[in-house]
Amino acid sequence: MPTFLQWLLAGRHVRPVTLYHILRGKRTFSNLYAAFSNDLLPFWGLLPHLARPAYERVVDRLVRASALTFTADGMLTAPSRAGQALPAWWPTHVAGLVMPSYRELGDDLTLAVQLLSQLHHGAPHFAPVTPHLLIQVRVKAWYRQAAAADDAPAIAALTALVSRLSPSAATVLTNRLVGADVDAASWDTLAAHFGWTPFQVQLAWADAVAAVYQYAMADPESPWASLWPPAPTAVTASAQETMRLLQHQSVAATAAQRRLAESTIREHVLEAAMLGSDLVTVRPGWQLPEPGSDHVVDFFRDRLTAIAAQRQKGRRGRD
Amino acid sequence: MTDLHAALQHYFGFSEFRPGQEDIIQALMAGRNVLGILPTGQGKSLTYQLPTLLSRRLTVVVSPLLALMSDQVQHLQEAGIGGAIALNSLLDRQEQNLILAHLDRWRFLFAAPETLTRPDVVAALRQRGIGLLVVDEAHCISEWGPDFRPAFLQLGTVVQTLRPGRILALTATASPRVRQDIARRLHLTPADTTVVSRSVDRPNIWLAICPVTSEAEKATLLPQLIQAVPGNVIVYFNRKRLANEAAAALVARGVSAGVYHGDLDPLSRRSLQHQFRNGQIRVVCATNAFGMGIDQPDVRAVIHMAPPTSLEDYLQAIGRAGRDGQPAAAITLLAPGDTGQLAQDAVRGFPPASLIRAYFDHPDRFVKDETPEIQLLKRYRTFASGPAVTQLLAATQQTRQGAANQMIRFCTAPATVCRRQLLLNTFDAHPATVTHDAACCAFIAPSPLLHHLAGMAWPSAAPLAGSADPVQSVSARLAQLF
Ligand SMILES: [Zn+2]
Repeated sequence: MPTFLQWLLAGRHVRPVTLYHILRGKRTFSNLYAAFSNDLLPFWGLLPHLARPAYERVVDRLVRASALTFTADGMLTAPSRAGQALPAWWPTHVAGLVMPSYRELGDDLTLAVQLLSQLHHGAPHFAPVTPHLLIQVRVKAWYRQAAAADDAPAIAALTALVSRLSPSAATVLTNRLVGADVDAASWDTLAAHFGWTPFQVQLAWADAVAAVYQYAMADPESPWASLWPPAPTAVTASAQETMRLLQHQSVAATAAQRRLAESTIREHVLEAAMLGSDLVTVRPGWQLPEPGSDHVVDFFRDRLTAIAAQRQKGRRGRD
Repeated sequence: MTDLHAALQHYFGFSEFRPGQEDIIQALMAGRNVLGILPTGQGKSLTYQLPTLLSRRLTVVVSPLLALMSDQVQHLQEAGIGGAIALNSLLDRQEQNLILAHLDRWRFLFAAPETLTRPDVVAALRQRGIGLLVVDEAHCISEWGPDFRPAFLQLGTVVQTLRPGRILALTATASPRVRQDIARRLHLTPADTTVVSRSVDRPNIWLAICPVTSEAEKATLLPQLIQAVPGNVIVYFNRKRLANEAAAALVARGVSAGVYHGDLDPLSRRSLQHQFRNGQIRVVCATNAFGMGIDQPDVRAVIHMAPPTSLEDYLQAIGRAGRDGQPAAAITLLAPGDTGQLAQDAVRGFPPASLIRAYFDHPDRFVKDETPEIQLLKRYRTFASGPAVTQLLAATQQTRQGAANQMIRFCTAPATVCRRQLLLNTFDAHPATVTHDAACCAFIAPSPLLHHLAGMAWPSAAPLAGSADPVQSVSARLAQLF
């Protein structure tokens, strides 16, 4: 984890506790905003089981070793690494809010491959590696629909998906799969093989799972697309509802209709601005007080402008 | 009688019962409750699996540990016996409701005791009716300390509410006092209950207590012991960290060793058990989470790096050695601080009476308190009053201290005392007199211990299968999978 944190914080400024919540995926507006403004949204929920004491120990150690530094206002940062090549284990396919949890995706894949492998080898006694019933039900339903009649297309499609991964990601992913008479290689074994830490192997695994998910979901014809749940939307249903109402009426009217505080409505707007597909700017129909008359609303306006600016900058950067 | 044998052959492919199994099954088939005391490795689970398969009714198995439940379900699935499900926290509410709404689909329902007291579960079970209630590891009713689940004590209420057709209480080890406790709490009366017990003696296991001078000496001795034992070894540690460190040290010396503790994910657990069974791993460094559900015949030695918390635990653990009937060794290392630590551990985690009173007077003041003592009291408060909890905890603490003291006496008794005789006297209803000699047991220093191990008539060990799964290329891996 130490190297991961140094890379993650390179050129970024974020409070240690906020970064912890971002990695765990604790959804509050301020965590989302911090993730957005630091370009950390892809890493949202990457480590859902991260233990706070372990995290704090690593941060302490890195701060003492001057690998991380605190700014005067309590932000944690590390020297920029612009121009340096990312390590091979660095997660580049993870997509935070718009993907189901990597653990669940991985469990689905592992169990599906186990089932496929056992039946392919005519091994009848099925002892599922994951005890989670919903996943078992989902995978069995998938098998009946996508591979029971003929497993060749599913196997060929998996081979094709794996071939699109980087060599190290493909090695990590396939060696963590189990089958009729095949065991998963341990994280330690893989770590020794690559000269990484087990933590880095786990990151590479999450990223490989994310990549396979994205490739499979982008091709509706793939037998694997039906294994996984569709991607969740980043903007909550509640915020979407707010945005729908705001097309026709004021912030105050929307708040009244939804029985929410106006501040909540404004947070919904900011959420949609950060995470939605459209660029959101202040609209006349919202009937906000004049600039300079209400500093809370001014703060909202400033943030909205800042979000729009950052998204446009990001868009230009990508072009 | 031939019917039972035919069923045994049909479902499990065995031609003979192991001692005690048939007695238990026949008593159950005759509609009697059974308290079955079978040493570990005598196939306890078959005693409820077979009667269930021969009836149409639901069998509910109460298990103390999550891992144990999953193991049992997996075991049944591996044996090709379907219809088994574990109702536990690995399932969310929606899934649990699904199971409860269709109880007729299942033959075996595994559950923790607190699950069985939930109103929705009680209602569903009442409607379906329980043919057989199995209380596995039944000694937990008496011995289960406050680190565990007070709900075990509620099984009596479960019995009275759900009125199962029959009750089977199973345990590997139970002193007479524990047996009485089990019978009392489960409302088993002599009139309707058959007690089936087999001696706990395992004559092929040599028992050794080895005093050492320090923890450092233990660490030096362990690899030597492992070298002296030709075959599989389970090493028990009382701390997860120590198990990790020892396994790493053994691997560094070229011993194929693995680690097992409660925090392992299912994939790693499966992998370790698989590798141990296939001879890719020779030594398992474990906490006491390893064992229940492990049925490997050729374990040659069980080593305790420190005495376990009770003689019951000790007997359970050493019972995993030599199930093939060939010579095996049970070695317990004893450093000067160990007995003190044991006594200390036995009282740890118990809230003092003043805290119990303060909590029950004003539970609202402790809403945010997450210390283990308060967490414990929160669980107890769901079903008992302050004074009752004080009394209950005092009794449990006393039991645990008693168990620790018994273990301490077992370890520190004079070298001339026969440990096997101590075990039989503690656990057998009619203890036989042991012929004590050098092959029976010993209180023995490290170098004569190693000498003795070198002279034992070990069966020839299967050669070690290649080292643990190495990392394979993507194409080799895919070819192996499909
Ligand atoms: Zn003896």
